Amino acid sequence: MSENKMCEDKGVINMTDSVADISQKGRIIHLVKEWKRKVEKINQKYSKPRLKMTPLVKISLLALRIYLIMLVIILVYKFYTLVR
Amino acid sequence: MESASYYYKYRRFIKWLRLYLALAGPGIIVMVADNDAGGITTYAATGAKFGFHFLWFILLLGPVAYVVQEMTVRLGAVTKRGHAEAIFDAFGPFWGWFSLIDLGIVDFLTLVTEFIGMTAALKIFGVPPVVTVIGVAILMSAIVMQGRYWTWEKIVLVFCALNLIYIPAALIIHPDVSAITKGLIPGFPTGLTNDVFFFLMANIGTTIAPWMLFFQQSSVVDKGMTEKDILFGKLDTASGALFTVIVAAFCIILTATLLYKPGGADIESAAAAASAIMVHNPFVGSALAIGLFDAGLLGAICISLASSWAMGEVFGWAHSINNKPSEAPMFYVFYFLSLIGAGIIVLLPGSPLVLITLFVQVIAVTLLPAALVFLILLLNNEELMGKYKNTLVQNIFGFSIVLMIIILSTLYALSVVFPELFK
Repeated sequence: MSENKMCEDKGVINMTDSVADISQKGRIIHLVKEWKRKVEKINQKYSKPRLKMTPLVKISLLALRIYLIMLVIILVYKFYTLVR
Repeated sequence: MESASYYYKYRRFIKWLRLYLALAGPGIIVMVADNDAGGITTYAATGAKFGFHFLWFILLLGPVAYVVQEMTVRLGAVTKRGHAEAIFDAFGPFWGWFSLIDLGIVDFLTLVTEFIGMTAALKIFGVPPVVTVIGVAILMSAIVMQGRYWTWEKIVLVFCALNLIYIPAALIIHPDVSAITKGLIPGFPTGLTNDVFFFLMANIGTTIAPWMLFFQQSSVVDKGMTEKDILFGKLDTASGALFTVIVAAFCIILTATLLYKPGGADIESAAAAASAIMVHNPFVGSALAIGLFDAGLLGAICISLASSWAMGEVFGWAHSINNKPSEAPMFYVFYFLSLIGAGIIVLLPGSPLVLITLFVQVIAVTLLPAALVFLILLLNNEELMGKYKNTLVQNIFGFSIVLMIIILSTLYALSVVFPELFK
């Protein structure tokens, strides 16, 4: 009888643990989903750039992209030589 | 009749002065905070290495900083938006997220370097790093949590005034006035060697940092400045630029007088310079250490706020210092998390602090050109800026300075990654 009671108790404890685990996981998933929704909302809000894409703006943004790609290549090269 | 006219002129001047004093703040704070722990180390090292030779160069950096920061004043006052939100709005989510994430990383790493400076400075007086970190965290929380922008600004201005400690410290050691005068004349007495080039790049690198653009624009918006306040904002920024170059020049005069020797002396950091000076002149050594702590504190205050404002603008959280923590919880949570995170990294044994200090320069150079280019493009948009858009003269200065900063700061970052490049 007492053994059964102990098993039942263990079961209760295990169940409580798993419920807590699920609720913890659920909370994290909910939080991630909420952040994702927030980011999507921001992306939607600013989806149409307000600045007119004049040639000057287009050239500047292209130059920026090239500059950043070059920087990344240099850093990757440095990392590669360090590791090697 | 004439005395009445003088009286009215006097009354008008007093009224104008009062208005200026009420509106002054963001420009002075951002410029003085620009002389952060890293900045003070650069100036101290420049003085020890080259004596008074490059005082003229430091004075030139004032107008450079003014031209860039003045644009953020106009942009903030006209659009009523911080720089992060302005980038999202004008250039779309790709550049918006790039700037925001990059700003978050750069600011966090810079915050770590400010804590490194502050703990090193107070260690000279025997204060353990853990006490410094906890004390700074409590102080910064108390300053920001009182719920009024005006009070916050005035407290921070007191810390800015403490930065002037380098002036009496330099004056009491009786620096060589004729050598200082020679140092004010542009030239390269030792030739334009790789060492000279490296130090000039480092000084340029400390003049404009990405967080400064975001901080001043958000600060102008939080203060509620409008188009009619732009003139005062410009004056405020000009005063700040003057203030910052004076402090930098006196910091150089101090180490040039006490540490410079023919051939140049190499110092690792401002804290090392303060310790070296402390042996010969405890007052001046203490002044340098106190100044370094103050510089780190001002940097930490502004950098953590720049990130929190930017996050608040984009995510739509309440994000004003005028809000109490209960009214803007996410803004303050982000502020405290970055503060506590940076403090913990400094205290963790075995943290790669030297690597972080070097890495900051490299990461900053991925954001600075983008933020500067966005600034210039926004300031040239008539639909956005109306009559406050850049004039031809402003564009000539703006473009030249932005181009120079981009080239020199990129070269500086490359010299950090490849130290043999300029040796």
